[in-house]
Amino acid sequence: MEKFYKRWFNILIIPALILFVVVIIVPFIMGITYSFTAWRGSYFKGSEHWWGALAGVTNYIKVFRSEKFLTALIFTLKFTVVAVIMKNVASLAMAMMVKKVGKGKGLFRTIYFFPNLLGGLAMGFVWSFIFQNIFSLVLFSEDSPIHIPFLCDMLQDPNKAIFAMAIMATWQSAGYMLLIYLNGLNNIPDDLYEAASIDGANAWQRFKNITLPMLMPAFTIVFFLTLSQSFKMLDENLALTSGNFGTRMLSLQILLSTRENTPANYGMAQAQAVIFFILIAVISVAQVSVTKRKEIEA
Amino acid sequence: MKASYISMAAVIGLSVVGLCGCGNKDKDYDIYFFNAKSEIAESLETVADEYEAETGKKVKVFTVGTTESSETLRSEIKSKDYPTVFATNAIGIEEWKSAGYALDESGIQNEQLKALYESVPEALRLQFEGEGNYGIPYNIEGYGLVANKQMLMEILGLDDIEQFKEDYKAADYTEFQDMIRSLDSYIKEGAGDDFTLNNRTYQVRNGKTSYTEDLTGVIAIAGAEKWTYGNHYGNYPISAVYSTVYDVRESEPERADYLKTPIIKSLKELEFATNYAAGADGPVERGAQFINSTATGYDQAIQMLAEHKAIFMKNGNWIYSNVQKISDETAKNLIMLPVKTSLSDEDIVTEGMTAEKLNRSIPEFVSQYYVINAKATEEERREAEDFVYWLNTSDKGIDFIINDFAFVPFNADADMKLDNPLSNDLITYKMADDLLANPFDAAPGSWGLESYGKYIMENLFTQSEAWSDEQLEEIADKCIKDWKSGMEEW
Repeated sequence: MEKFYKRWFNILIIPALILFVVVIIVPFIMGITYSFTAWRGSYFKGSEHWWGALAGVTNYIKVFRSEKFLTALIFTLKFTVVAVIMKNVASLAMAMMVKKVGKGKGLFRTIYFFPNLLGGLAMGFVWSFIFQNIFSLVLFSEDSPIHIPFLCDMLQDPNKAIFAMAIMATWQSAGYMLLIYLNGLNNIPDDLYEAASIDGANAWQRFKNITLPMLMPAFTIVFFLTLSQSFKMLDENLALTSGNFGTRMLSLQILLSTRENTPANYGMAQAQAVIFFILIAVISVAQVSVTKRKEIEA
Repeated sequence: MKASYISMAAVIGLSVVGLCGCGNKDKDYDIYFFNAKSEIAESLETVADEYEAETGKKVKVFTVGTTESSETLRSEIKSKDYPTVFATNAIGIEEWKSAGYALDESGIQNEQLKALYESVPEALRLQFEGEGNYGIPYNIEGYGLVANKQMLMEILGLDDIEQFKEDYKAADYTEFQDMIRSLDSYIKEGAGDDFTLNNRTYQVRNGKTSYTEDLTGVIAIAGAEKWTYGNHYGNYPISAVYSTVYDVRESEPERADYLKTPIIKSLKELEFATNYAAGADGPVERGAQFINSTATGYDQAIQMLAEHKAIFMKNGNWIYSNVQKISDETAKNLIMLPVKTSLSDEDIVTEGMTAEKLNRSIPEFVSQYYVINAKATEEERREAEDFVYWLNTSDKGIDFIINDFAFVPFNADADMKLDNPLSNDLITYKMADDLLANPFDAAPGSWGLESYGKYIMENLFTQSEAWSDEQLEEIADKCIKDWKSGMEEW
């Protein structure tokens, strides 16, 4: 069998390779090229071809001078920090609870996983109803026994909107992350806990010294997934807040920037996309290498 | 082994074919129309069938709603099966002309269609940098203060609305404010002071009637929908400084400084109006609930007007069909009144514009135009031209435009009577030349939604206290700054 794969390897990857080149690599290179031109979507300003409309780094300079882009960048970073923390805490806590449950473990897992099946746009609209009506008028309103002003009108306040988005994002992906954490927890041998208990370690010490280090591989994956998920969020952002109250994230900024000039300035939008790509690449690489090192130490 | 070689080759072959697409077949249509108005998508299919039955030419229609249409058109027009006639709005022509897709009147082969191009009034023409004539208007649309005339007649004890309409048109902003206050006190207390419009006194009746008892406020306001005030209200301050779309595009950025006072005044007018907003079960006050999209969205505002909870709603003639879905009776009673502004002649720099003209006119504009694709072959263009000519001049075509699309034709005259009373009012204003242009269309970038409308929604509508002068000034300054920086990028 191994011989078979060795011999056929090059041929077998051709279809995937062609697809990858045509769908990813070619547009990627074109995109980078166009980001240096005065591209208007349906034509190049002042020329028939892209090489006649080269504009140097003008687009990039414009991007970095654009208040909207910088605001979106800062907000994206803020949201990512909040969302990554909330998702990790929630999914780990849920995983530990589910592990403790004896009967009906599968049921809980399924329930927690359900939100993950909802599409981003649909979920955004559902949550916009929840925040505006259920939270603000029923559950946490002034007439309710559990009146929590912070949870009322979350979408109509610049300080609360970021948490509204994070709550929704956590609700959606915590179930998925839970599965990864649960798998990690199941891989920790029970005798480690037993030995620690005999040595007199309390629950917190057991969690800190056994669970956390042993969970590092799972944590790497979850951290990486949640980080890039939060950074790239688009649909939910569009449906829940449409960028109002300063909640425009980078993806939405790129999407909307082609509607901000007439004729649309695709060159500049493309420059933003390139910067966006570099940011994600840098963060991902840095983060993977850091957690990899941690894993070895553990 | 041999068999797997073959299957392997087949897999690779298939994937290559799949990637290259199968674009070898001949076009199975004669005319391809790219439409940008989703409201008429279904009717257009019937139009296509009718045209084919009559001429034997097959029309392919493809519709993408206005917001996303230009994105789709960009890729569609570059494909092998490009549209031979497409739709664009007044500002989009800049792109299609620059990209070489918009055919000017001079290039039209069909002499009769050429004459139709020439018959389009100067103000409605699709021009590039103020020149040329690139399309035939779909229709005319307009907006203003929509009112339920039955409600007004009931409250004011009138037998006929015409006199009121005349007086209202001539009234100034102070008289308008008195009227709103008086109507508000009628809604809240069942009685209101007399007020004057154009110096004629109107009396508010005592006590509610079965028709007026559901009223919760004077005006239905869709606070959660930025476009209803960002786009439409924004046109009034802009009209004080710029006359047309082309005027905006050609002016120096510094001219935007004149917008300051008009913007501040427009914000004060909005503050006044928002004090009298109708809600589902009582008046809505400014605050978080005022911009709650499940309470004060566009549909909810329409519903309040239709269900007799509000007397007025500032919007366009297109609301008729939505109102009709809820209440046929209300829909039949709708009338279009001008929006009143507090601008004085000193605030207005637009040539030929006066405060008096602004207060009696309504903005009318062309939403989309039919444009012939200049890059199509001669044969394809000729067929597309024939189709556009047929749709806009034949009896059947006009019947479609008026009855199926429910459009106001761009060349409508006083004899034309439509189902939609708001559209009939548009024709009346047009015949009387009480028109404003829609220079807002040319506002840089997404100024209406992302600057003016956004500041109103985020900073003002959420604030229940009175809006301070410093705050309004700050917002006006930000709006002007955004306007100027938007212009730089052209």
